[in-house]
Amino acid sequence: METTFLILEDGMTFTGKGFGKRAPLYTELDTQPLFGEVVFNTSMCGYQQILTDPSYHGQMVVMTSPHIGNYGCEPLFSESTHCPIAVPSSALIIRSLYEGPLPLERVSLDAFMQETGVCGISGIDTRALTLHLRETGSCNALLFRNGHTSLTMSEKTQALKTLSFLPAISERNLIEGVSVRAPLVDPPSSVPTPTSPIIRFALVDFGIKSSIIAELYKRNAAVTLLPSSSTSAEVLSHNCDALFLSNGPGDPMMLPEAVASTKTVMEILPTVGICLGHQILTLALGGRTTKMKFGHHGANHPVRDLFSGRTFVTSQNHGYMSEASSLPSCVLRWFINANDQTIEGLWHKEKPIASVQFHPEASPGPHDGSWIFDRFISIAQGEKS
Amino acid sequence: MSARTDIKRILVVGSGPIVIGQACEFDYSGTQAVKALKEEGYEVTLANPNPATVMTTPGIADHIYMDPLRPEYIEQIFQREQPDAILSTMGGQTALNLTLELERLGLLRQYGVEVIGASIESIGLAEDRGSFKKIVEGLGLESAKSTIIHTLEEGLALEASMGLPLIIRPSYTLGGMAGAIAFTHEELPLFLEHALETSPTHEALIEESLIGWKEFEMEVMRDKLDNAIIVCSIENIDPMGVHTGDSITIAPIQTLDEGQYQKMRDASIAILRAVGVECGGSNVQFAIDPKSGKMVVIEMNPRVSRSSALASKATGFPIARCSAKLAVGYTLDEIINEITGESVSCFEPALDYCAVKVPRFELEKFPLPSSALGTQMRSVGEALALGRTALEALNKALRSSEQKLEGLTDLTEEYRYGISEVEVLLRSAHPLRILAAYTQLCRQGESVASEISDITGFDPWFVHLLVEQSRLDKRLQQGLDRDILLEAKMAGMSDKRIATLLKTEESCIERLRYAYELHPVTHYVDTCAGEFQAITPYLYTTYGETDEAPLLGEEAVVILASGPNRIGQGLEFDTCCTLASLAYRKLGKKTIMVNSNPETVSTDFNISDRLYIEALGSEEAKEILLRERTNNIVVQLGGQTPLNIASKLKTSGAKLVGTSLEGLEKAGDRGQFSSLVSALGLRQPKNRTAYSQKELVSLAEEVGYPVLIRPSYVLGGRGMFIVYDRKAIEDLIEKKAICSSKEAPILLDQFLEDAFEYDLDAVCDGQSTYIGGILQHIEAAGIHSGDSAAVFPPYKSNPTILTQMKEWAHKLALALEVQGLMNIQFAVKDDLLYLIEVNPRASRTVPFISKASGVNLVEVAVRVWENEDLVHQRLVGKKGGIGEGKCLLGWAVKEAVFSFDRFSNVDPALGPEMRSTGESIGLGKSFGEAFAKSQISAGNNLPTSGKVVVSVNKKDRKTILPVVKKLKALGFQIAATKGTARSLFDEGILCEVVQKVHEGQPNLTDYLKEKSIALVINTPMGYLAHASDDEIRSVAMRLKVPYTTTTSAAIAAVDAIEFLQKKRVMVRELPQ
Repeated sequence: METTFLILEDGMTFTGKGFGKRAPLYTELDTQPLFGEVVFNTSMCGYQQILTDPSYHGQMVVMTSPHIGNYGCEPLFSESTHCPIAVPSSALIIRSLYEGPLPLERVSLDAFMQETGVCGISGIDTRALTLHLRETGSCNALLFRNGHTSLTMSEKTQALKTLSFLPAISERNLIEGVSVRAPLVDPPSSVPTPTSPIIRFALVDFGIKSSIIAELYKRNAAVTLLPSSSTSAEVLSHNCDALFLSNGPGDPMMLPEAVASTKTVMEILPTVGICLGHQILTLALGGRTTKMKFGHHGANHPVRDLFSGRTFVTSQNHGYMSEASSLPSCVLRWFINANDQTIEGLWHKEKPIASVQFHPEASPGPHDGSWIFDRFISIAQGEKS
Repeated sequence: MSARTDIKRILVVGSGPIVIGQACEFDYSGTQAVKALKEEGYEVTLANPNPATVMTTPGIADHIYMDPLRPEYIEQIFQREQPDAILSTMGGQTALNLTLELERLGLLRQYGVEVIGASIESIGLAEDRGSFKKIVEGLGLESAKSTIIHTLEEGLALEASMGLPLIIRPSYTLGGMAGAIAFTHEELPLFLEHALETSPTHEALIEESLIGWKEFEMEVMRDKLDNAIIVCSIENIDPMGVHTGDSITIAPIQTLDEGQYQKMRDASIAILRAVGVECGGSNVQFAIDPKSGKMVVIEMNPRVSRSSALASKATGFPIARCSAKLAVGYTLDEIINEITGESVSCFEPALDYCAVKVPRFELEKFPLPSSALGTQMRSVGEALALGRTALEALNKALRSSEQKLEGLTDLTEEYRYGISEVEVLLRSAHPLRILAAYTQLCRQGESVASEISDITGFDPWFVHLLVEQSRLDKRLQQGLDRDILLEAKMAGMSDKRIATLLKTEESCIERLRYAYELHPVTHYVDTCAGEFQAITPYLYTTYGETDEAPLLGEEAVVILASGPNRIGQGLEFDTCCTLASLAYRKLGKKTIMVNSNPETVSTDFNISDRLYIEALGSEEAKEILLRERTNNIVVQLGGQTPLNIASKLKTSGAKLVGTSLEGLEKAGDRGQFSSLVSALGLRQPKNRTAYSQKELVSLAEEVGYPVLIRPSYVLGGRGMFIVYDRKAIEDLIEKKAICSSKEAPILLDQFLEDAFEYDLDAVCDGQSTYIGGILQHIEAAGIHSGDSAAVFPPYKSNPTILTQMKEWAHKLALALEVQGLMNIQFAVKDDLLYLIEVNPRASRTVPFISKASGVNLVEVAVRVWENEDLVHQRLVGKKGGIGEGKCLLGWAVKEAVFSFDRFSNVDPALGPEMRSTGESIGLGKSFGEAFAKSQISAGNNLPTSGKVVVSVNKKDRKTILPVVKKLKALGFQIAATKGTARSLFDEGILCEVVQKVHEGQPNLTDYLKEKSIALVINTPMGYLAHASDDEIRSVAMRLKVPYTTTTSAAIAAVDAIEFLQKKRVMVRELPQ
């Protein structure tokens, strides 16, 4: 009998059944602890896109939707095509795993996670966990198994001790693991590479989701993918028309070099960004970012366009945000979250610089913000407010 | 804030009487809309001739009209109330069609009334199948291959080009009415003809069959700024081929991948945009071919619907309320989500549970045709259950549907179905198909799972749920410990289901469960999967997880509602429960509502202090009492459902509010009741109780023919017969139509032929009695009270007898120690008063009497329960006295409304078994006016000229004479069948003779088909009506030719015709 446990920093413990790659044994805690910041995602569909989203690197994802794995997995659904790690998130935490039959071309979620080496735990009260995270905020947790049905006091004490030594998400540099190692011109995509592109982006990869590249290709925009460590000179050396800062995991404050490089490049090239890219841009513009209590992770977040007055439903995945009071006067709020009024997008008054906190590429989530890519391209082509 | 200030007065149109396909969901949405508009300061006028509704309760809207939903009446409302706008999207197809009609007649323009909600253009685009198809194709989406036809010949020609089966959908009808699937060459012309007849535009869409495809629904909202959201996605477990109202469904969608789901989402919003729905909710339906993945758009409804009510209850998102706000100019992001109090409504609810709906059928009353379910809706109600997993929700929903299903069960084990029957069920679109699938899995093992999926069209994902249940069943049978018991409870299995499986008693499982301390926990329905804290108290229960809601304690009272709608127990009871909750809260008491019916107002999130969406079983009710730490429970408002569990609740220590269990039982037990009746010196028809099959005949002879035979403890008169002789009862015994046993005795009563029946509703406080009103039935005795037209106050009744009724009521109330509501049925024959039945609980007529008399009887009862006696309430002069309500507007007539037109194989003649689905009301200064209005609202088109055919049985030939004379005087031509014509001739009336069906051609049905007949008066002989009578009535019903089946109804009809001839249209506002 093997049992898998999820234990949070504050001692809250969940007992469940492991799936995917087997979680490390209790005895392996010291040598290879499986840990990450636990965040909940309220999307009701698209578990594979979430699991493979490089922005989740360093995090364990709780799906609030109870049934996961319903339609299996296939390569086309992965968001980590350009990522050195197939499944960047640390673990998947779910209520109920589907283990029934699937169409021939699909593999089960269990098999997919075994193949890609990701651990999962199922059969736990994900709602209790979600409510707890909502009240106390996201925190680190440890996933492991032992050979019996419960956790002894001493095992729990030891696990908590291990947890106390592990770094918080804000202390971790998670980018290196998920960024391309060397520049890549016209990275492959599910969408054909533009043959006669109207523009070329220098796309700094902090852990890019494949769909972003696909959305750009669909609009006839070419991409040169650059490592996250690229200096401004390196970025400029590729003779691109505009800078694109990708999404990615972790705290933007951990990336001073990227901020510095952006500061330089955005004076020269039109600059746009998504998610972490938006946060880096915030810092480069002189603003501040802060950690949110439990962030926004889901596919149902209302975002208000302050220019048009329209509100639309977006896909979101972020634990940090731009601080409204810190923004310099040259920057306007483009979007805000209609629920909590947090900043969801910036627009530079004078320069072709803009960004969004949410995910216009969706995947998973509603396509209602996909027009943002058209605006980005038009900004890259020199549009100003 | 962008609520419109250029409109001040709004007319909201309700959906009228309840019929299959248009039920109490529109009371729910209409009530929500009226409240939302009033909140914004608009003056709201409501038009709805359905007396059973919450929305027509005084105080809900500013002005209430219960006049017919016809242009001439609406025009008067326009004149009196001068509304600036009409909200057309809350009253189902009825309100949409009425709005189109008002537009066509130019009345909207004439009175400067703007249509809000959905524009005339968008209603037209969505409802007209041809234009809608063009829109779909214009968006690059696919719709099913189809052709519009206007003639039979056009339709028949399609067989060659499109092949069979073909789907036939008449335009502008409700709930798929007269829609059909033609599988054979022979069926096609019949179905085509019926469809063309039924469509108001004589138009039908003939469509390629998508039977077996997966079916989905999206509930979409869009505002004037083009903000759009999907409130809920719904997947039908039953594949295409079964009307969505008849399908078991689950929310959210489970089997689509992200790409497929988003494609459907994009398409839904694009369709709303193209159709032009810009301030409200719509529902868009899709089919997906499970093999190719091809997606096809089926249809859309540009209004709130049954699905939107379901979606609202499944997600917590109040669609109707938001639609009303959008209709007056708000945008989605301006409307705060009341469930969380902090987020806005421009988001998409995230569910962390599954919501399963199971439809409820009346298979005994309305048997399914050979092809089982089809494109036309046949279920009469539905139950919703929420569970953390799909299996839990499915088991709970099956149990909630109150069809004697305890969840997924082996049909051969529990219900003694034969294996061949299971095979048949598996292959037909039958309500039990899912259980047949489960049975096959249990019997033949998991290896047949994929075969079952192929045969049934259930997605493998759903079949896998059944596999999980069968594995769980096996493990339970291997031994019960805490873990496995918990797992069973988490899978939604009831104690009773586990007990049956383990061949033990429910109480044993309950004891074990208590010993293991396994009790349900509550989760909030919060619209956001836990992301925000819920501030409204909408709960469901599950097992083994975190318990979220604080308990309410001894101060709270639990109200058990009535569960899924069924014939005889529907909207009326839900209205009673809702009004009780509102009354209690007015008095400062906290209420906890328990119900499983998603269509209702009682399950709206702000009616009670706490709402549980749960099955109305004793296990659930006991656990809720236990958890909330209260003992107070109301069982007398929700019809038979709560009463069925009253004694179990009492045993476990619950305190029944109002009349004691003893009082309830004394009224229900024949022996006890008979002794009470004689002790009080009252009169009852002769009666006996048969405890065995053998006694039936001899007891019937003792009582004397005709005899009314029925099982004990049933509602709505199921299994009732009137027998006129020994042979008839022997026939019934032989056919096993009646089965008498010690456990289920059969009641035999002297049947008072030609008697008049009365319904009396009263409230008693233990000392005094307030008679809300007495209703006189217009149909003769023997026709179920729920099916009979009735008039308040009694019409041409002997005042002495009426006084006697009140005195008897008072005596009975005191003797039964009634605390609260009481309903009595009386019969009068030869000027003698008989007591038929006493029910110390709310009756179907309580809302009707309350509205007609202006006294909310439910509130009166609640005040009594809260120790405010009737004298204090100023309803009774002095302690121990009798008070009485009056009809405020002169006359109020209630007419029963049927859904017979959905069941071509059902004889519309009325009998002792109730079959009406709804009711209409007519209010007037004269009886004729009130009756005429009630008929118009019930859809009976009484003529003002033309030819009347009279065909009555021998005993009616005298009583029909004055009717015929009056009709002649009113200018009608008279025709009669041979026997009737002869007796009329004897009385000096010469009339045309028409042949009965079996007498050759042309006969009565041919004339009906030629539409040369305006009214049929046809009284059948006893209950064993002749086949030709059946056909006359069926044809008349199908062609919408009004017919009456009793002489008393014919007399009332003539009064009404006389009124109609005067062409005086006068609306009557309900006094507030």
